[in-house]
This record gives sequence, C-alpha cells and structure tokens, in this order.
Amino acid sequence: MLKKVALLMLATALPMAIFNTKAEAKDLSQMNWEEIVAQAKAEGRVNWFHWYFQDRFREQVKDFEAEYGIKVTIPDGDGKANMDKMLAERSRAEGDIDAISLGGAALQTFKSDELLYGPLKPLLPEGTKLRYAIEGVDNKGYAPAFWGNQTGIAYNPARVSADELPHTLDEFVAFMKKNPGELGFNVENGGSGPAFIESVTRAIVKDIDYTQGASSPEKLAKLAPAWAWFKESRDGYIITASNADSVTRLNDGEFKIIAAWEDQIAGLQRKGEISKDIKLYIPSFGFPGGGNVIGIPANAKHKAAALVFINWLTSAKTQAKFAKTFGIAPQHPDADSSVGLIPAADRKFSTAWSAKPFGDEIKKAFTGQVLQN
Amino acid sequence: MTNNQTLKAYLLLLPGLLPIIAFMSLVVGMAVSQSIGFFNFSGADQFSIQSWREILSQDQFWRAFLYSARTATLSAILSVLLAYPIALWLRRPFPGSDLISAMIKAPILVHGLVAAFLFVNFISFQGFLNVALVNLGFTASPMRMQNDTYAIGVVILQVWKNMPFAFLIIVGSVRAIGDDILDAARGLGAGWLARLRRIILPLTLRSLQAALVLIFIVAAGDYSFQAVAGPTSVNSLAQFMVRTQADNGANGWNEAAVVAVMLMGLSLFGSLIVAGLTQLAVRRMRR
Amino acid sequence: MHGITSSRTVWYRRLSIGLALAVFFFALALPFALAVLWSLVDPAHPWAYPAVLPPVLSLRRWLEVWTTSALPQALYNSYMLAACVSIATLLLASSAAYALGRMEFVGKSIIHLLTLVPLIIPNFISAIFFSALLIELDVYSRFLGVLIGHTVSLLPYAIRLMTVSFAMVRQDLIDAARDLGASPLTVFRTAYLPVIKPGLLAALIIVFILSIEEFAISYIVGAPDFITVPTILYSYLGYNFIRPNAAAVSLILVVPNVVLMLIAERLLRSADPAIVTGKG
Repeated sequence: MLKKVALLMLATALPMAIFNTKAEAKDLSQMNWEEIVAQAKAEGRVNWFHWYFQDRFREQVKDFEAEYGIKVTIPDGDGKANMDKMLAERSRAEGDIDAISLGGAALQTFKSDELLYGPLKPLLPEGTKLRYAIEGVDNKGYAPAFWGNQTGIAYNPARVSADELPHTLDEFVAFMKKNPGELGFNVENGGSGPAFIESVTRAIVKDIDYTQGASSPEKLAKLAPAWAWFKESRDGYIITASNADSVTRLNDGEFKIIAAWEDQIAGLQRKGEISKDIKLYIPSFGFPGGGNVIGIPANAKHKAAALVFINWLTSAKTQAKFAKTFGIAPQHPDADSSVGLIPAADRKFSTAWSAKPFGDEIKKAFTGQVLQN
Repeated sequence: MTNNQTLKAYLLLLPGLLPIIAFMSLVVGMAVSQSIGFFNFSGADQFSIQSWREILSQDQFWRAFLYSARTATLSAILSVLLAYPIALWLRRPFPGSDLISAMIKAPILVHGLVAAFLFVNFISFQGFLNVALVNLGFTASPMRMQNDTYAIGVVILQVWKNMPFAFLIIVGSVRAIGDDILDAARGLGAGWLARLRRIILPLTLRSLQAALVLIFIVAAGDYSFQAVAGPTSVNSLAQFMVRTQADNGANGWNEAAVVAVMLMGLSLFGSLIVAGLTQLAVRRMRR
Repeated sequence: MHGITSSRTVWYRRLSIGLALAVFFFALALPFALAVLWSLVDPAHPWAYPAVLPPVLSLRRWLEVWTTSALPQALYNSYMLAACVSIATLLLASSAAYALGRMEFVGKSIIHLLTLVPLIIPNFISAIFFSALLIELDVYSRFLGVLIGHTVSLLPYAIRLMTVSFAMVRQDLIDAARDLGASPLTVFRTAYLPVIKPGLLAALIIVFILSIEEFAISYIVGAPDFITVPTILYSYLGYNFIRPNAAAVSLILVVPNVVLMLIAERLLRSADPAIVTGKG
C-alpha cells in the first residue's frame, strides 16, 4: 500500500520526468524545420504557461494537437505567478515551463538573453515576418508577439446613449458629477483599470517622459495633480475587483461605463457570456494598447515542441482565427486585420503603455494616494 | 509513572510532534529572520531594520492593521453573542432541536470561498436581494452592496461561517451545567437573569473565551472573504502581506515578513485581550 | 392552568422552529438555489440587464466547464493530494495519539498545547514563508510542497481526534485479553480496534475534507501550475470572474464534501463534536 502511494506521489510530482531525458542531442539551430518538427513530435508535449482565457485556449489548441500530435497543457496560473516560477526555476537544469506568455513590456525588466532560449527569430520559418517590438520594448527576436490588444471605455447602450459618453477629461468630470457611481474600473487583477488611471495621469501631468521606465520619488511626486483629480471625483467612480468584475457588472446594468479590454469584451461576447450590445470606444485623450509575446525559457524541457507550437500560434491562419474569435489585433502581417469592436476612427487615440517599472509605480501610487488614503 | 514510561511516551510522540515543531519553527523563524534582513532573496544577508521602518511608516499598513483588528473583534463578539442564546435554548433537547442544531452546523460544510461567492451573488446589483427589494417597492433602484466600504459584508460572512464553531464549543459547556445547580438557584429565588449572571456565565467562561480566541484568530488572518467580498479601499493584513510580497520584487519578501510578524502579534495579543476583557466583564457581572 | 402554559410552550417552540427554518432558508437554501440557477444559464444566451430571469436554461455549461476548464485536473490533484495527506497524517499522528491518550508523562499538557500550534498561526503566514523556505531549499515539486504543508497543518486534527479514541479504550478489556494470553496483535484487534475504528475513519475523512478545502497553502505554494478545486474557484471569483462558471465550480466543491462530512459525523456521533473545529 505504502509503496503504491509513494509511486503515485512520484507519478504526480514528476509528471513527465521520465520522458525525453535524452532529448536535445543536437541543438535546434543546427536542424532544418522538418527535423525540428520530427524532434517536436518525439517530445510529444508542451507546457504553455499563459494567464487568461485558459479554458478558451484549451479549445483553440485542439487544432494544433490534431495537426502535430503534440499535447498542449495550459495550467491555470496567473501572470505574476508564472513569471515568478520562471525566475525561481532559473537555476534548474530543466524547468517545467516550455513556453510562457508575457506582457509586451515584461521583458523590459529582465534580461531576455539570460532567461529565454533563442533568439527565436532565425529558428521560426516565418520568424522574420513577426513582430518583436511591442509596447515600446524590443526583445531582439526572443519572443514574438501573438496577441494585440487595446484598452478603452466600454458602455452598456441599455443604460446610456452614445451622445452622453465622455470623450475628454472635462467631459469625464461632468459625467461623474451627473452620474455618480456609474463609472467602474479595477485597480487589482488586470490592466484595464490601471489603463484608465494611467491615461488620466498622462492627460493631467504632461511634463514627464512616460517612455522612460526609471522611477524616482521626485518623478512620482510630480503626479500629485492627477491624484487630486481622482480624489475630487471620488464619489463619481466605483472600484471593482477585476477586469472581469467590471465587465460582469456592466452587463448586469450596474454601470453605464467601465474601463475595459477590447479583446476581453469581444471574446466574452462571441462566446455568449455577455450581451452583444455592449460597445467600446477610446476617449480622445488616449488609452494604452499593446500586446503579449511568447518565449521559451532557457531551461525548457520541450524546446522543439515549444518552437513548433509558437510557429502555429503566430501563423497567419491562427492569428486570423483569433481575430475572429477573440477580437484581437492579429500579429502576423498576412492575417486578416482586426475585426474588433472599437470604431476605426478611434484607433488613432491608441497610445503606448508607460515604460516599466514606472508604469507599475503609477498604479501603486494610485492605491496609496487615492484609494487607501 | 516512571522515567522509563516518560521516555517511551516521548519517543511515541516524536513522529507526530516533530513535523509540527520543525515546520512551525522554520516557518515562523523564516518570517522573523526575513523581516530583519536574513535569508534575503536580493543581496547579502545582513541585520537591518529597514523593512520594519519601511512598513511601519506606511499609512496603508496601519489602516490594514486596524481594519483586521476591527473586523476580527467584531466577528468574534457577534458570533459568540449569536451563538450563546441559541446554545442556551438548545441546552435540553426538545422535539425539533436536532433539526435546528443540524441547520446551525450546516455552514461548517460550506467552503469559505463558496460562501463568499453565494453571498456576493445574493447581494449583487442584479442579485436576488435587489430584485426582491425593487419588486416589493422598498427601493426605486437596486442598491450597490457589493464590496461595501464598512466591511459589513465581510463581518456577515465571518459570523455566518464562524457562528457554528462558537455554537459547538459553547453548547458542550452549557449542557455540562448540572440541572441540580440551576434548580437549587431557582429554589433560592434567583430569576433567569441572576441565574445567567451568577451561574451560567461563570461556568461557561472558558468555552466562551475559547470561541472568542478561535474566531478572532481566524478572522484576523482572513484573506478569502476580504478578497471576494471586502472593501476595495482597504486591505486585510493577510491581503496586504500577499500584495506586499508580490508587488515589491525581491524586497517584497522582507517587507511581507514584517507584516507577517505584526499579524502574528495581532492574533496573539488581540485574542488574549478579547478573552481577558470577557473574563473581566463576566466577573463584574457576577457581583 | 398547567395546560395553558404547556400549550403556550408548544406554540413558542413551533414559532421558533419556524423562525429557524426561515433563517436557514434565506441564509443557505436560497443562495444555493440561486447558484444552481446561475450554473444552468445557457452559455450562448447571456443573463444580462434588464432580464430578471435567465433567458435559456441548459446543462451545457456543466459540460463546457468539465471539458474546457482545468477542473478535471484540479479534481484529480485535490483528491489525490487529500488521499496522500490523510494517510500521511494518520501514520504520523497515531503513535502520538496513543501516547497522549493512554499514557501519563511529564509535560503532557504542554505537549498537548504544542500539537495545536498550527491552528493559531494564520494560514497565509504559513503558506508564504513555507514557500520562501522551499525556494531557499531549491525544492521545485509543488505537489511535495503542498503535501508537506497540508500534512503538518492538519496533524493537530488527526492527533486530537485519535487521542480521544485511544482514551476511550477500556483498560480492563486490554488486561483481560492479556490475561487470556492473547498476542499483542490479538489484543490490538479485540480491545483497541473496535473502539478506535470510528475515530480513525472520522479522522481520515475529516483530514481528507480539510485538505480538499485548504486554500492558502494550495494557492501560494502550488502556484502557478498545481491547481486544486479551491484555487480554481478563487480564479473564477477573481481574475477570471464568470459568474455561471463560478457557480458550477462552487457546487462541485461543496456537494461531495457535504456527503463525506455527513459520514464523518455519523462516525463521530459518540465523540466530542467540538473537536471538528477551527478551519477557516
């Protein structure tokens, strides 16, 4: 009995340790694509650490699994935990992560050439067509973009008409005065609310270079007028628990407008989770947009499989399908361009995210100066 | 009792006790030493009170500390206040008392996260309560009750979840009071209030304190209720600790450790103070 | 005169039972009914403002949650873990429980208190600094980490429950069996086992349930890839909040445990109910 338990424990703790211990006799850069695919099939599986829509992606990767016979596992971890795991396993000979999704700017805060395998640009058959510079960060070919997204203001037409919508800062102040508690945005659990905070901050505090990631107390002190703005309108807005909470409560009719991700609204609408009437726009003072990239940790166990998977994920066909299913901006030049929710005329208001770590400090300062003050 | 038997007993205790002592002293030791600059994940180990200075100077931390202290005290007292009369009522079985005590214990079987979800679902803007209030004409439009600023939701959840524990602890000691004592008191002409003050309360003091301490500790360390149903404008200590660890890179560990030590202090001293005050109150009432 | 009082008592009793039933209905039955309703919302037809009731009900949501979410994996992890934890806990606890239940020795009351220490350290503190310890020791297996964490933090329950069982074994039966020349094994089978068996099984089940329900250690130490049912529920209540899915996962977490707990309670009926306390 004990022996059995011990064996079972071992089997769960080290799910795939037995497989592929002899893999990578030859470096992938020495192989041609057919050999890489053959190697990938021999590896047979890829662990993709990704932090949103995991259930939907499990559906999507079925095409890949059918085509290559490679099993894709997508754990349910959040973005921060995934990144922590990659950092914590850095010194391990073989880590658990084969492919990891990262926010476009995430690679700014650490050295991609130490943590990631690659560059992937020369290894991928269509590597040169893909995008590696996103959200103001060029990761030098280590992690291609596979997801383009935009933040904005979503509204529920059942509650508010299009001509009541605020587009400028002054209109936001007037809107909140007239409709107290009808604007919702989150601070934790997702970037849509922080996008709103950042946009307002940028519109109010103009003498800061937001493309420079360095943070200092003096630089943060300059943001004071923005916090005064938020404090003055404190009764005008409601802080929600997450991106998804904002969307749910907009759908419930609790809010007239919320800060939201275009791809999240579109993805949920196409699934049927929320009303198809909900629409999105970008206020004229600009909302950040960007995207996510995917890379292979330097100590990944199934590198060939991860490479083949990334090739599939970034291909024109998959990207076109994602545009249709999730409303993303496709990241392959040959894919049909976005069929998103935001009116084309609003796209010009899209801005880049503030460079990190200063961008993160803006959110933290909001929590300290406005929310918990 | 011989030395030999004591030795044997200690040997037998080893497999069960050693893991507990080792684990707990390692974990608490880790927290304490990280709070003063050892076991650093960034830079060299060196004694430093930098993290303490950093955390203790933050308004956010003190708000979280007072918030956790307040919700824990409120939850403990309300749970016991609610459980006590019910325990007295169910002291002697009557037809239907089994059913009632089964219903009281039911929340024990419901996971805290599930309870929080059910609650938020119930009070949400489109939830049952609002729909009922609007349709019955009590309010014109739905009320916003989710994540309320005063943490009424969190306290309701704490009481909902912990009242059964308080009940279980108290009912045992209430039942243990002999009828003869109560009958004797009644014979001496003591009214129900006097019997409660002079006999029942003093005899159940220990279990009262046990329930208060237990609930205080559970509520002070709360994360899940706060994360799902709590106010967004303030963190609970456990939430603040997790956020501090996650948001501040490698230094986060040291600062989270300070919060951890403060939380342990709150659990220990806070629960002792609540228990001590109860003892004082009961003594005073006895007179 | 006497008749009037007793009929009034009966009336009072009926009223209070009715009141208790009403409270129970609003505090438990109704919220669960709403969760069931939400879990039956058809995935293709959103329940959105201003609809008061869901437009279409179906079981498709359950099917979908089962096939696309990580729930099967989480259930496997949770139950597998709980099985290992309850066996490990019992193995470690039994000899200590024997000593505490059947022997007299110096410092017994202090030892008793020491076994309860895991209950007074807030869960999230154990979780975070245990994970720091695992990083420090280069332990990467999340399963092993969570297993150790659960086993230690649930040991107090097992020790407490089994101590009571061992204390209930009657010394005269043991002596009688010995006097009749029974081997230690026979003594155990005839004098101990019948008495401790219900407590043993109850401890097994209660540790099993508490392990399935444990959130802090599973969430912090297991992150990001060792998921259990509570951690999946937490993600459905937070970052990935989709109300109907959360409703389905909630029901999956609660129902099997209620059944198990009812069995445990039946086994424990003779023992002290206050033992089964103290989980958050």
